[in-house]
Amino acid sequence: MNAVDDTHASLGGSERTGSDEHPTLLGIVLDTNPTAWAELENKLSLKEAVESLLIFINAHLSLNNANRVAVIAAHTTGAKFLYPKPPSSSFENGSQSGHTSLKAMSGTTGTANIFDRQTMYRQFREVDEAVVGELDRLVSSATEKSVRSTQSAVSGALSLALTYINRVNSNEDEVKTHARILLVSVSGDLSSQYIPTMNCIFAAQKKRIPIDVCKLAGDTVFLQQASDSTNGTYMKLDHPRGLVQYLLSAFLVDPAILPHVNLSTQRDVDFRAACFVTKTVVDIGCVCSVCLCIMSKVPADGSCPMCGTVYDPQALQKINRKPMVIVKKKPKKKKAKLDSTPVGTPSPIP
Amino acid sequence: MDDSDDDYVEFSPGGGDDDDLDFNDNDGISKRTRNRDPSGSTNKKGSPRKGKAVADSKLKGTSGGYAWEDEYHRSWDVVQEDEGGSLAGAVAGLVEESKKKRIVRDTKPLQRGIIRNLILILDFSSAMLEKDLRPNRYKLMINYAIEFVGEFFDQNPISQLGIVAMKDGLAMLVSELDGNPTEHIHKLELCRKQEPTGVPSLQNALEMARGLLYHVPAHCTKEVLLIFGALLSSDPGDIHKTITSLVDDKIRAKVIGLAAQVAVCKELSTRTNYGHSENNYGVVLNEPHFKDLLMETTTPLAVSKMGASVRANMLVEMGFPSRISESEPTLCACHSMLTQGGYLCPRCKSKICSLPTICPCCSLTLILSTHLARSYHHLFPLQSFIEVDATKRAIASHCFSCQLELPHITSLTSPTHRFACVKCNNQFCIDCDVFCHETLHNCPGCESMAHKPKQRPVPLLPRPVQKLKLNFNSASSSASSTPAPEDGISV
Repeated sequence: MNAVDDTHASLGGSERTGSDEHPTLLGIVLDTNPTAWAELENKLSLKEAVESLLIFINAHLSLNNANRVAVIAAHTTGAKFLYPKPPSSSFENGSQSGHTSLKAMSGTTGTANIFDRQTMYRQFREVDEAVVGELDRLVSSATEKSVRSTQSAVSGALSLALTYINRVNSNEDEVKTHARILLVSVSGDLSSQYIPTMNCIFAAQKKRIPIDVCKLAGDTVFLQQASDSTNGTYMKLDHPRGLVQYLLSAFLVDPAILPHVNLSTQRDVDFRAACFVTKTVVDIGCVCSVCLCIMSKVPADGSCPMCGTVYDPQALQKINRKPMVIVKKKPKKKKAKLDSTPVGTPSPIP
Repeated sequence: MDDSDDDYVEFSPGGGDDDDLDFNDNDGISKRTRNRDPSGSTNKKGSPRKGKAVADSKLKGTSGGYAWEDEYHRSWDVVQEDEGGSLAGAVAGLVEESKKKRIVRDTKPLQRGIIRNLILILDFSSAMLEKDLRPNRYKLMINYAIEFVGEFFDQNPISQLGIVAMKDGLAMLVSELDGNPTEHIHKLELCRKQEPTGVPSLQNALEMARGLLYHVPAHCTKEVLLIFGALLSSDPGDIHKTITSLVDDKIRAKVIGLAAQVAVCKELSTRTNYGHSENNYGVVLNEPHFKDLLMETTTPLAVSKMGASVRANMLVEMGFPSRISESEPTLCACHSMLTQGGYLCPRCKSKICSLPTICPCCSLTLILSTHLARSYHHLFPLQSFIEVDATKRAIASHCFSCQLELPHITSLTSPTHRFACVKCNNQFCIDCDVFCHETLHNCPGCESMAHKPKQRPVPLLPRPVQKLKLNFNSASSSASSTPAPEDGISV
């Protein structure tokens, strides 16, 4: 019996050490908005950013042999998987894609060949080639028309990352994979994607997937809320040129030891809401009880600007009511006493 | 023929007066109990007999006979082995079937009562000691109730919940109507140690629920969820009067029975839901079914046309506090405790520990804008994906969102295992389909398309928005084409 117990204990022990080193699946969403990157050009070019990101990915992969990564680009034309390689492109010219990217990288920049096929660690090379190749394909496919749209499909990229994480987690029930998402964001305004992005945040919250936000430029209020409600890290970089430093020191930290690391994340979060009609930020607003749209003032026609519901006029009156100062009457003792007796008790309502 | 025995009575269409067609709905249930109806045992031809015949027809199963006369289906006959004698294919098919069942839902945008007030009535009577549900009814109910509270506030963050227990013929208040899930869960944890005793009193519990819901404003829903393990109710007065007063107060009741259908519960659920008892009274089959029935309730109820009134459409004043971090602890207004950090009421600047709540100082409703955003998917549900036809030309080789390689199609009749979004025509695997509809509430395909730049509306001028249409839940269901929710709401 003792022997059985012993093996049991040793098995349990080995399991525990195994659980300490859970493999991590890192979903990286890279915002590739061309206009935003063009504005950022003097501080940090997209190429430098991708190089930093590749170093970061390689560092992540080398932390644990079973660590995995997924890279998704949020472009103005839509969201697209960079790694793992989307099936359509690998069918067309699977072997060539790495080659073209190589050429593109070395051709446009004139730097030395960064992918040394012989000496490079295979896992690094696969990811790096795929990311650069697909990114190259994405950028070169850009047309004038696509550049004109200003918003990157961040909500779509987050949705893709979440479904991918969901699949990986549901497949491997035995090995528990931690997952987190890193969003490298450059563009500011995402207002038209408010509801889908919020849905992504809630799904991540439910699945306990932290969303880390690395903000290079612009400011988006609800990305702060994203990292706050999912226990992620929000960091607005003051010196974008040091991206690789930020990535390696702040975003490589394993979620398990995150509580012990003092990161400069945002503590005060702006939770104020924006009025749907005037787009102003309000702290006290009126909310439609039917469609939950937020208004900074009571609509003039007494109906909801979003769903057209006509409000109860009494309720509107109540909200519009101004505070009143009640003028104190001078107490007239004798009269009040006389008055109060006949009227004082109300007759019971039948 | 003597009708006093509950035998099968053939329904003769020409047997009685046609005037009696508008018989009361709950006649059918009372007829099941013997000799309840004084005229039921007569030999007369006419109304009582006819009512009984119709009631009997309600008891019949789909095949025309009573449920207990149906052929017994052996579950092992349904499963067929494949050529290799393996069950793997059959099991996979069953799993997919169950997933499919989960994703087929009504996705019409309905007007729903988003701000809910729900009283959860739990049965703490001795009938809960039965062990037909493992480990026993009582323990399972407490476990599921705790899960339910978490899920309820996850889905309905601006709603309130109260818990009432039925024990020893009395109604006990477990926790007050409140919006804080941790408080309720704590109270339920304390209930674990109690022993269920005595008989339940439905009337006492319902009257207490009515009292708790008395002050609720008209724009919020008033709901009662009853988990009933016993088959009896020991009431001090007339329970039918209580049900009538619940109907008058527009309180909607849903009942989950743990043992068998009880006539008074049927009446309660039918009358408080404007005559619709479907989906509002369920008797559990097994543990997972119990959980399914309970979790169904976390989705807000559709507002019925009959229940809608102008008073229900209200503009509610709400405050959106900002979070502060402090270096020194200060007293909070809600518990009078020293805490570090919190939220400041935008109107009276008092400090509150947690949201959503009502400001204890100036009684302003305080919420986060994320709480509102969390409810949007109830109002604008994601459209169901449609299984792709094998004859279709463009069959995707991989799932659009998770990059999973989908199985090859062998024949034109076999299921394709591909589900396509109606709007963007991208094809997904079944896991992504379930995930998108149950957790994400987004279509990754639609969201991955380019977002067109929007013209910013000139402030304070009426802009040409496409108005959202939220239909009422009516039988006529004249649902017009549903507009895209994204077009209407943006921040």
